[in-house]
Amino acid sequence: MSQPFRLTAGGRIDRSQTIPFTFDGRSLTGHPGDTLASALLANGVHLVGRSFKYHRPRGIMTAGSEEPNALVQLAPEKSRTEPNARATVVELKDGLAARSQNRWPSLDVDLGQLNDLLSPLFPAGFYYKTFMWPKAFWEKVYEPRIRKIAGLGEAPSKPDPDRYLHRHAHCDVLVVGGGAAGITAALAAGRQGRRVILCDEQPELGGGLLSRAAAVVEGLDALAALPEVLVLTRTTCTGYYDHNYLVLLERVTDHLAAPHPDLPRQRLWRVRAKEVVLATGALERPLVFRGNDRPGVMLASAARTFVNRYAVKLGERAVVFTNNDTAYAAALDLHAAGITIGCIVDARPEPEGPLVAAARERGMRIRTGSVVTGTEGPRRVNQAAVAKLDDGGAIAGYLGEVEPCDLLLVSGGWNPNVGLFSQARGKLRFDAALQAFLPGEAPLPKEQRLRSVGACAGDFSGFDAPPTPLRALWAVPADRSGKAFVDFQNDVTAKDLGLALTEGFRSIEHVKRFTTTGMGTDQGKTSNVNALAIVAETLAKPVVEVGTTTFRPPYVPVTFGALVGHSRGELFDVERRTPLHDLAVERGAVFEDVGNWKRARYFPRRGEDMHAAVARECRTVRETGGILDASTLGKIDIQGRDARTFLDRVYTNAWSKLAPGKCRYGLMLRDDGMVFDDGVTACLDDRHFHMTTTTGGAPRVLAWLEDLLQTEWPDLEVYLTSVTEEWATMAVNGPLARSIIAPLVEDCDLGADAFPHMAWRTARIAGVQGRIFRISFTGELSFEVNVPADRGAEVLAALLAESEPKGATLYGTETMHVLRAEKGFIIVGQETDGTTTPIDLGMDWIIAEKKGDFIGKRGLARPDLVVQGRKQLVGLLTTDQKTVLEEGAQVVETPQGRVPRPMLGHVTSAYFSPNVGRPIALALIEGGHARHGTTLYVPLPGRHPIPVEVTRPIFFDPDNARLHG
Amino acid sequence: MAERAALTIVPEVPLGKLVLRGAPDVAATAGAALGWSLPDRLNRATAADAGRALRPGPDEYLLLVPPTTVEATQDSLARALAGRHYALVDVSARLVAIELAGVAVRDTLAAACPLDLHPGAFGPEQATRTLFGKAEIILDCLEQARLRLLTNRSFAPYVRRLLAEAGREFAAAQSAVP
Repeated sequence: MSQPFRLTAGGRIDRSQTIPFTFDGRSLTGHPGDTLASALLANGVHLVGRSFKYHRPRGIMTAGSEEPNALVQLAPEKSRTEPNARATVVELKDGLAARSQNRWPSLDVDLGQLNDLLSPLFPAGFYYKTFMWPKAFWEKVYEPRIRKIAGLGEAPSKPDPDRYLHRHAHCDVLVVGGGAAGITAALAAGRQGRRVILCDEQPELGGGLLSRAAAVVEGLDALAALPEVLVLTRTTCTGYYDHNYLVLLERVTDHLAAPHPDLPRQRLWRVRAKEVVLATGALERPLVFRGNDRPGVMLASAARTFVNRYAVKLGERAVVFTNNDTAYAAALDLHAAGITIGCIVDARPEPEGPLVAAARERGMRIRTGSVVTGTEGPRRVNQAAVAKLDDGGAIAGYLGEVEPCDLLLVSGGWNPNVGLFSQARGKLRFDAALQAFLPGEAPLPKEQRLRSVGACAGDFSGFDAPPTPLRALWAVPADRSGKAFVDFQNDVTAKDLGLALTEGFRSIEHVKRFTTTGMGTDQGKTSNVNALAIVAETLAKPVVEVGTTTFRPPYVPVTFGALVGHSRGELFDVERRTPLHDLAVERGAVFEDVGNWKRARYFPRRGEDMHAAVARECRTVRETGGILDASTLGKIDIQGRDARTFLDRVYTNAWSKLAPGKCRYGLMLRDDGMVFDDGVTACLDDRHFHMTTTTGGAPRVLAWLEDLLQTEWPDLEVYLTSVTEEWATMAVNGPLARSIIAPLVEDCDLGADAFPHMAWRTARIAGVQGRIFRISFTGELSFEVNVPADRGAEVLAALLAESEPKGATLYGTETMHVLRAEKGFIIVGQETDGTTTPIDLGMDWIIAEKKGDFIGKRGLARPDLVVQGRKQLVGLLTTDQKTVLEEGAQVVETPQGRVPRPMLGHVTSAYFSPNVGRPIALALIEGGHARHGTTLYVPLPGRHPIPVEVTRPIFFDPDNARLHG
Repeated sequence: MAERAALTIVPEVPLGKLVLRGAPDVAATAGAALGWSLPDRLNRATAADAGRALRPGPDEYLLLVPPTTVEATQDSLARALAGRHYALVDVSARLVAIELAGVAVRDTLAAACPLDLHPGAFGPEQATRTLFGKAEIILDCLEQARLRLLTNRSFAPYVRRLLAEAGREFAAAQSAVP
């Protein structure tokens, strides 16, 4: 028979439809409205998993997101499988496949159960003291084995095929929790015309109301009619951060059997709320006694929910163990549903009130002043032992009287759900009547505007029975046998807490970490207060002195997918492409990442590796010609009357005499005199300059210059505008450079006299208005063509049509690096590392001592910077003329002697130079300028130190004859 | 479940773009020369037949004009502002304008834009610099359900891709014409 334990009437399930699902391969059915837990119970399945450490049989303890026991593995496929899903919040859907975790070979027969018998070997913190010898065995043997035996579900082994999104949202009021209190708050705010978000983790609003028989939830229509109220169901508030910033996790399609592929699976809401109303309700506490973890032992409120909301007949005969009135409501509802109430074990000596009276009226036996001392039953509870508790809290006989039952309801009182309040940095207070923590009176940081309402604020008026008066009862006194669990998910017993205290731990934070209580995926929702109180009781201290551990986000486990959102694959980061990218692709470019840019590194031809391609490109540029895509260089448009003064201050050299039509290389220093960036700046007219920066430095140079103008020199009339992406830049280099561009250029005399090196001209190039700069990073005759970015591709196509028949080619950044190194041109960030001055680089010529102040001038005068023996830029030539050094390799004085030998410096750049015909390198060497002509050594791993000759850092065309061609 | 609503994405709207830097008095002169006044409030836009002006910074204006009038606009501003402390830079190629229309526009942007995009908080004639995912953008509200987004050229493919991903649940469609 299908669903043999389904009640014939009542509940919020749709009996007209049947949903098939499997558990451990067994085909079962449920109804829309069911959770996996309620459907399992309707099928009589109470044993759903094995515990973390001792492999004890575990069942379903709660009906909500606080569930510590009923953790299952969902969807067995490798990409979507999800471990540790709480059966109590998984909505049933067609084809749902769940299996139990942490058991082998099967749930019923689990060999890991041996751990339960061997438990003396595994007390709290056992891994700190046993399995310590031999030491090497921990990492290789013990830990892997222990991890295999313990632990919960399995992580997916394939990429997540689902899509996730984020949503930023702003509101006047965010209401967390859609029970009666939350609905009331949202209605009140909404009726004032305020922008409201109401979120609730359940599929429908109502909260605790949904657990009552014949539940009626009021206010939903009114809520729906308010245009500025957004109701988010299946949405859990997982974090309360600074300045009323909260994160909500919406499960958009998890409950759908065949979701529309355009919908994200989950959505992470990032909410900035002017005000927050926490209406998060309260969570019932379990009681701590021997065998309190057996399947069939359940929170009284959960039992009530399963009976009323899901119409499940949980058992035939229930025993109710409580220290307060609320469990009576459950007992009455179970009784009404046809479940025999064997007895109510009430720790209070004289319980009274309407619910107690009603229970008596229905003939329920109430065993007052009594406790359940333990349970029995192999895979489900079949009896409870009940004993009298005296006024001092002691027990006469531990074995007690046996009460047969297949269901044991427990209620140890209620914890207002203060997790989010605490995350918001609210201080808690301990309420003696409730024996629980409540939001404290101390004011919150003023940027956290929040209030708590309803049960989470200690207002239980919405309950049909109040949780007070109650008799504080933390751990039922026990003899030495058996386990009484405090943290069910992490298998922490009352005895483990005692052990931690015996070992000398006093701080609750230490006890927590030693025993791992409260450290499971449930974050100790059912265990924390019990653990604190047991510690307090044992130490004979008030609970408030023991304090609480810290509540941390997330409130419930959050998928990585939801956190990542859209930021994966192509959307993980911005891939910036230049306007000339597609042409480079057509020419077979291999790209490299330079910041977020993709730059063409080299253009291999058939059969060429990088080395061969770069060697060919290097020769081609110097023998015929080549074109480099230099569009990524930073470009800043500088305008204003004081532009020259500004340049004088930010560069080391003088700019006062640079005439319109001319360009100049400049070096920027930081205040401390170290090289910051470099580039060529052109004078467009007296109040207008065009600055270039390094590719990587573009954003930080602009930000820094803007900072200087706004904060240091607001008197200067200068405006900066980034034009990096306005221009496509093509550097045409080589002896044929002029003849390549000449046929395409109008309105510009390209002759060497009319248009000399370090000049610029406007021109039409291939019909496009642009600028040509005669600047060279190769030492060759060079024209840098700039046209608006949207016209770049067509101009490059025209340039290639002119150059390719002449044998000239596109070349990439790798070739650019070799060619500039042949000339000894530095790259900021490669030859410099933030400790390098222009003088170290041998660039004294660029420092204009006479022009007045510039940034870094005083820094350069610091004693450390003028001292002898600083690391200075030199060239290195390997004497074997074959070995290419490695960048970053250290340089030493002698090949012999003890290691480590004094290190003189390091190699900054190293290439094979086809134009020089041997390997070349640049290096920063102590006192390098005085070492020209000497021999030093470069140790490389696994090789005899390589002798190198120190030279000037220039290897090709030292007289710059080619530049002016 | 999210409501599926029409969303249209125009991948690139042809526009001339000029950055004008200057104090409010410069902006007033510029407005007089252009024949339409520039926004006197920060993060606002003003519109006329000849173009549209945004004010994304205290001394920063972005002028959006038809591509055919960029040069004429530059010339007339240069004449009007001669001798004044200002900067005028053509960034027509640097910035790419993408237009979004449909009732799902705001929810789509909210997938990666931290601003409050409620119609009451960001309505027509409001324009601001903000973020869309990892891209810096300027967001310009033309009408309640029609917004324009300007970003640097090399960020445009990322922005379009992210718009498509965020708009997928709203049945986003690409259109060639505004």
